[in-house]
Amino acid sequence: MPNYLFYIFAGISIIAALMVITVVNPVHSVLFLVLVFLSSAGMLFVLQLEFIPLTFIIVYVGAIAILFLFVVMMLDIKVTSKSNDFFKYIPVGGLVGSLFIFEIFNTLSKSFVIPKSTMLVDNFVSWVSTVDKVTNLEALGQLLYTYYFIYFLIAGIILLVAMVGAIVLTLQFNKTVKNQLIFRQLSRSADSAVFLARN
Amino acid sequence: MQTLFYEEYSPILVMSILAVLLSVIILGASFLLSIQKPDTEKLSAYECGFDPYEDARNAFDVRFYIVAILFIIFDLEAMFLFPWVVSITHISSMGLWVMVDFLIELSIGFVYAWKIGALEWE
Repeated sequence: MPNYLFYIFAGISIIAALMVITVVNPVHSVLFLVLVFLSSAGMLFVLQLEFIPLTFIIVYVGAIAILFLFVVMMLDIKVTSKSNDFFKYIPVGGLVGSLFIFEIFNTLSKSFVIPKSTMLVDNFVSWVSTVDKVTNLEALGQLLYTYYFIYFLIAGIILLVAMVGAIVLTLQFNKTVKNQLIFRQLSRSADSAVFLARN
Repeated sequence: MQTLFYEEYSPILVMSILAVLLSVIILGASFLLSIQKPDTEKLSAYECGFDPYEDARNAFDVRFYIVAILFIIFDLEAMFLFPWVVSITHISSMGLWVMVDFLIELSIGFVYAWKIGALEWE
């Protein structure tokens, strides 16, 4: 059952990724991008890797997709893209894509080698996958906050720098901000507000 | 191996399949079963009786972007809280104080954004 689900989610994500680049309206392509994120999150959930799909749903769908929508709004693209623009990018895109696939297969063939001793055994049981007392999130939490805590704190400092940098880069200082001070409004009474002007 | 799948995720899967089915049924029934007699008055744009003057999409203030970026940063902070919440009984008090330090780091940024008025509108 989970294998079929994996293939279903993979098919949905491939189809949606194709729709991202073929659909005419850029807002629709952002929505298909959200569908790509969601279906790949489902794919990773089926593989029982919880942290990355949760990040996909919360950060990518919740925040990055909104940034994409902002960019689409700001660039003010009208519906003009024709389908014959596609083949202009085939050399560059094909080069980058084939390099990426080559890298992935290179890494896969080098990093995930089954040792010779287990290959000889026909029906070995993968005990690591049968014993799943610790889920992905728990394992990550037990390591990230104790053994690798310094990287965690550095990540916090990087987020702080990003926040301060975004504010400093985009904020225009103008002093004419009119605030609504609620305590001043509430503490105003008729005695101090109504008075006779004497000339 | 798939205990987590069968125990925790399968109700969510059933719920999502039900949601997709229900939306398809509702939209499809209202599309197929209703009587449709379109004409130009029915299909023309209805915006207080006027044709729309311009495109709905126009460039807007960059400060919406600041709000979105601050939202992403606090979103990431919430993401770091998830594994901590799940495994807080297994990590010692050091794990607690590491998270407190992390929260203080981001609170400095939040206080800075508040004090400098990055979230203010004129």
